[in-house]
Amino acid sequence: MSHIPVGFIHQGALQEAVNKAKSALGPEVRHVAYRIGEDNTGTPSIFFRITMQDFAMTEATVSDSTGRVATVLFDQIRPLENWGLRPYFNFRSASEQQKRPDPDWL
Amino acid sequence: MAYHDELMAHALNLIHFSPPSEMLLRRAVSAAYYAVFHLLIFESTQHWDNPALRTALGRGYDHGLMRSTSNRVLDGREFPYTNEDPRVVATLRDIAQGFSQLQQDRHFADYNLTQPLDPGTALSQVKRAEKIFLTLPLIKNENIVQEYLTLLLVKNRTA
Repeated sequence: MSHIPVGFIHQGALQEAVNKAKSALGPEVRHVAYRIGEDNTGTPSIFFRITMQDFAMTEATVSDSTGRVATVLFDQIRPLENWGLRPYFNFRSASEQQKRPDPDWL
Repeated sequence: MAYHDELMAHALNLIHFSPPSEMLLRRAVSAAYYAVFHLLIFESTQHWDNPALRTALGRGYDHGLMRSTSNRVLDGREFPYTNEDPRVVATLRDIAQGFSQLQQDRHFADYNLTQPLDPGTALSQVKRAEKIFLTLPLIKNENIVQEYLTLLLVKNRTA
């Protein structure tokens, strides 16, 4: 499988695609950030860092809520087909972001 | 209890340990990845006729190849899955993406101490592994899933 070098990605168009996908997400999502980089195998990747409302990150809700968000972002953005980027989705709660602010998640 | 089931139970025990510590959270994520790794190998080797040799065959699986296979099935250009049940395709891709993600998460949990691992983040990762344990049995006999499980062992050769 061929990959698009990170430097050749049209950042504006990607941002537009992400913004469009974000509008399809539910109220359990507080914020969606992303970074382009290489994963631990050196493959160009897109790392989504999604801050969720606390109610969506409980033992009972986390699996469904994070799965739903990842599916929407994956289906709408199609990171591999459209951008040549492996997708990764990481989640934290709003209270965790408040307790320990991390600029990578903003 | 199979080894992968024990590992998954271990990961869930660690993630629920009170009071939580970052070491326990990291060990939980690592155990969750290895639980899925061994689950996929277990299912992939089930069609080997001689059960006594399945664990030996399992030694042939490679983390990197399993991850690249998992990423290949996410790509609709290579695996369009036309005329397949979209629910099965979605579940298979969820499993494949989950495996690839968990491998990256394990790498962070085991090696990257430059940033802390939040309890919520770790919980979401362990629950992702648990979800694979719940959904794979529902679709494992589908042809496209059997193909995926087989390709976990086969290098992608273009010639």
